[in-house]
Order: sequence, then C-alpha cells, then structure tokens
Amino acid sequence: MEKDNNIIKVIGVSKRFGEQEVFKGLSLSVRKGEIFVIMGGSGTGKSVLLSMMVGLNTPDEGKIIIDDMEITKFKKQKEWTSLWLRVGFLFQGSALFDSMNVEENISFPLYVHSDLKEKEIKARVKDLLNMVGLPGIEKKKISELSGGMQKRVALARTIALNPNIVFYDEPTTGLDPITSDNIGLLIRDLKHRLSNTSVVVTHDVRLSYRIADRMALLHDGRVTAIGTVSEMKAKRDPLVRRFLFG
Amino acid sequence: MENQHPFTRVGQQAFRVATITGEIFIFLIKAISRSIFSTVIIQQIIRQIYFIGVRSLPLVTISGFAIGVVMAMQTIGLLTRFGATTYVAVVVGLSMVKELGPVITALMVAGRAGSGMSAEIGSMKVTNQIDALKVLAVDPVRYLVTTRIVATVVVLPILTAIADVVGIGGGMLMGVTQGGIGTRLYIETTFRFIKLEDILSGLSKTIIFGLLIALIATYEGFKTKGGTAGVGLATTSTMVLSSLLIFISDVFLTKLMLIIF
Repeated sequence: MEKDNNIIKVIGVSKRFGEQEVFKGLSLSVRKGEIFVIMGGSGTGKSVLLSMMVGLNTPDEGKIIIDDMEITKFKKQKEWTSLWLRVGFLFQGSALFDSMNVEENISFPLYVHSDLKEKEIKARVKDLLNMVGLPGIEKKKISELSGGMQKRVALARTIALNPNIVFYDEPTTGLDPITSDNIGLLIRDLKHRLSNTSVVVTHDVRLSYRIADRMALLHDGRVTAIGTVSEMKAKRDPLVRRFLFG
Repeated sequence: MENQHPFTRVGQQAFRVATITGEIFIFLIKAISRSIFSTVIIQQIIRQIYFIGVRSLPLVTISGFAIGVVMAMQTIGLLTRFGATTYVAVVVGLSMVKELGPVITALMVAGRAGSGMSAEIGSMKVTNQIDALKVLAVDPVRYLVTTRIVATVVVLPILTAIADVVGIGGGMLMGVTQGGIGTRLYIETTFRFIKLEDILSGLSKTIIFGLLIALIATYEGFKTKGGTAGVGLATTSTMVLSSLLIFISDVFLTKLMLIIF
C-alpha cells in the first residue's frame, strides 16, 4: 500500500452524547509537519474531536489513526502509553499540577520517562522555559502565574518529551489579544524548532489566520470546509463566510 | 417518582448500592495490581506518608489523650465504690488498644486526610489534571490511588500505636491525680493485663481501616463531576461513607480478631 503523508486520519467517526449527535461520520486528515486548525462554533464538538485523537474520549463508530497506530483498536495500557509518549496535549485550562511549582510541573514527565540525571533535567527545564519566553520562573507556584503564563508553562511541559504531534485545545481562550498573538507566534516558532505536527482547536479566527497551514470548519457533525487560509477565505459557502468574516 | 411503589424504590436503592460496591471493588483491584517500584511512585508514597501521618499526628495525639482522660474520669468513681480503683488502668488500657485507639484514629484520619485526598483528587479531576497525567503517559490510578492506599495502610497502625500510648498516658494522669494510684502501680497493672494479642488485634484492624479510608477517598475523588460543587459533595460523601464503613467493618473485624487471638 502506498504510504501517504498523513500523520492523523479520522475516518467516518460518529459520536453521540445521549440525544445529542455530535459527529455524523466525520472524516479528516492532517499532514505530517503542518499546523492544522480545527474551527467551529461553540458546541460543534471541536474539543471532543481533539480528546478522541489522544484517547481521552472514544468514538461510537469510525477509525482514528495516529502516527500509523489505529488507536480506536487499542485495548492495552501499553498501547496507550506508546501513543502518549509520542503526542503532547495542551489543555484549555492548562491543567498544571497545582501541588507542584513550575519546575516540578515541567520536569515531571522527564523524571517519569527519561533517563536524564537531575542536573540534566534542571538544564532541560531551563531550556524549555527559555523556549516559551519565561526564563527564571522555576520556583514560582502555579497560583502566582497569570493565565497566559500558565498556558506557556503548560506548553513547556507538553513539549518536554519532544512529541511528534502537539494538540492544542483552545490555546487562547480567556487571554487578551496581545497574549493571544504571542501564543500564536509561540505555536509557529515551536513547530519550526521541533519540526512536529500541530493540531489546534479554536474559534479564534485571528489566531487561525496567523498560524494555520490548513484549516477545517466543523458544522453539524461534519467537516463543512477544509483548505489553506487563502482557500478558505475564497470559499463561497455562506456558512464559511459568516464564520470567517462575521 | 413520588408515585413509585416502595418495593421499586428499595430495588433501585439496592441496585445503586450493588453498583457502587462493584465499582469500588474494581477500583481496588486496579489499584493493588499496580507496581510501586519506581522512583516517582516511591517519592509520592513518602510524600503521602508525611501528609497522612506526620500532619495528622497532632490531631490523633490530642484526641487519643482526651479519650484516655475521659475514660478514666468516667470509670474511677465506679471502680472506687467497689474498692478496685487500680483497675482503671485495665479499663483504659484495654479499651484503648483493642477498640478506641484504632476506631478514633481511623475516624480522625478519615476526617482529615481522607477528605483531603478526596478534595485534592476531585479538584484534579474537574480541572483536567487527571487527564493531563494520562497524556503524560502516567497511570493516574498508580500515581494517585496506589500510593495513597500504601501510605495510609502503613501510617494508620503507627498513628494508632501513638494514640494508644498517649491515651493510656491520659488515663494514667487521671488515675494518679484523681484516683490516687501510684504511677508505678498504674504502669505495672496496665502491662500485667494487656497482652500482646490485644495490641495486635487492635493494630491489625487499622490495616483494613486504612485501606477503606484511602479507597473510599480516592474513589470519590475520581468520580467527582460538576465543578467545585462536585468536589464538596465528594468530600462529604467520603467522610460519611468511610466513617460508616469503619464502624460496620469494626463489628466483623472484632469478631474475627476474637476468633484469631
């Protein structure tokens, strides 16, 4: 079989929560090395889709293939672990461990999964904090950080193990426009530095324009439109136009 | 709902209890099947031993002492009437090591550490920190549940032994000051009547109490939903359920200890 360039394949996924049908045979693919933005109004299931891609949620029907692994067939803990070591997930609310300080949060996956010595881990934490533009805050408590800083620290923790794919769930929600722009720049910058694939779920059109290589619009349980920023801007579909231009 | 037949309601309640019992049992199997041999897990166990053990020490010491004092105060008068004041040492000592020490310590730990565990894990659940552990390829059951069960099971017998000693000390204070018993006589009487099996039967119970406290607290924490209100409900539920289970299991454990020892 010919090997394609898609690192993520979502094929015919359906999901229902009680009476509400969130996805009706949704399909999409993400190419290796691109920043793929998934957009849609509130309640269209963007975050549910993202959580399915990392196994935090399961589809009722359909297949999800991540980095050549069909995760919808996973049964054993070992299989999930092999997936989670290859991907990173930035949660909407950052999900930093508030019982730990910044350094402990970022070093946590390194202590668990790497063979690095303590000194090397501390140096790596320092590098990661520099990378996200927050040098010297190792000893700060999570409660002392602003929302934007928490997002960056969470991002540093997410990329600590050099994941092949980074998933961002609403990375700019609750942030002011300047901080949002900085987060956008950071996502692009990290993609270039780490050469990984990024999947970003957002309803922030401005952010999408700044970072997306390709974007998809979800509506009524399916992908309504997909393409590069310029292709999306050129679409005649009234729904796409209303979403992008208001 | 109001027009439901009483049998239907009883049936529904019985089904609910059976479901929860089954869930807790599966949760226990998952937790105890995880290995503890990893640096991060051992560090976490030590942290929990500090949180559950060292931080509960003042509470357990004060309550143990108070119970010993009250037991002595309540019995000195009666025993003096029969000319058996010295036996206050036996009443206090045996009550503390066999029953009051284990149960009071377990209740104190359930109230302080158990509800704390439930609130912490519940908050982690509603703020996606448990999902964050998963995607960092860290098993949340191993990291949060197994460690707390091991720590509580290790710590509770030690705390109970301390409560027993302090309680006996409290009884002695009353026996000496109010009953006019000599310190040496009080200690000798205590040691003469309290056998090793009495101490072991009390401490053995606390292993089961510790398991129940940590299991209920972590289970309630893990099934928390509905934001901060859910965390409050989980904490209350932990306190109620673990206290109830401490008393109920004590009945069976006491019978079992009487058979064994």
